[in-house]
Amino acid sequence: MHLIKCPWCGERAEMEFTYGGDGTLTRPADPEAASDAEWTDYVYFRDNPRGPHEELWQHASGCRRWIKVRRNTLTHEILATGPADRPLEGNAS
Amino acid sequence: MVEVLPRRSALEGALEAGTFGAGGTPGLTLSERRRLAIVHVAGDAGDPAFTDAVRGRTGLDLPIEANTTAAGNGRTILWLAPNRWLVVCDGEESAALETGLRDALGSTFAAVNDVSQGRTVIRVAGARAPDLLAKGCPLDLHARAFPTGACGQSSLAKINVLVHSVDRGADGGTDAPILDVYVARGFALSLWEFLTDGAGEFGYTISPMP
Ligand SMILES: [Zn+2]
Repeated sequence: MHLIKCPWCGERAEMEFTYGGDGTLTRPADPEAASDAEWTDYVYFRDNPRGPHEELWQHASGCRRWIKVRRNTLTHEILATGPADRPLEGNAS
Repeated sequence: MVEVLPRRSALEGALEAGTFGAGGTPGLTLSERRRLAIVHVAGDAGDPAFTDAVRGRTGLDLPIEANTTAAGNGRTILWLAPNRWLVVCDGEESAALETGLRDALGSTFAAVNDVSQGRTVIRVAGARAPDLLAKGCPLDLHARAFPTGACGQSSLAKINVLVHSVDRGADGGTDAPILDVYVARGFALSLWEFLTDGAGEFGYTISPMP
């Protein structure tokens, strides 16, 4: 069984979690001033990295909290997890 | 005139007392825990005013550690998530419990909601109880990982549930595990069918509605 460590509940089965997309995005700091191109980039365009990637996941069947997960997109290995409101510890690669 | 609807179990008509499945000594017992008061409480675990108020009304210390519970005086508090708990009382009116907690908390930053009508609690007891839940739940239900007093929200037969390890028997053995499964009312019948279907090979007894 593939396990993901929830920062609160501990190691849990992947099926308890829901994938929530790219965790590296930053919303334009000044929404009124951001250009259409900047919005398009933020809303639609995603990188498709091969290797470690920071993602958002939700512990949907557990504590319902959003978490950050650093996952190797090639091997599906989970490299690090942590709360969604702060940077993940360790190096991104 | 306002008609007051009587409280009615989601399993009414489905729960039929008796012994079913494989012959020999039944491996487990299924029953419904009825007329429980179940109140959802949210608040700041780091705020003494909040934790003191809950202790004042329930007589129990809020379990701060993940996946744990506090129990006593017919009451149980189950940890759901950071700053989220379920207070469960047997033999107390849910409205009284909700109002009591609200009054105790006063203006403290917290939320109290009676969810008694929205939850069904199924008790799975007996030596094969963990084996039955393990058929559809990824939690580690072994007594070592899920001892007396542990709880966990997870998925059972693809249905979101809260499992409470009420009692794992003497010295964590497997002689008399009692596991309570909390499920949203609308899923109760579906879960009941999964449990009764899965229990067939162990042989099971269904206790009559209390
Ligand atoms: Zn969790």
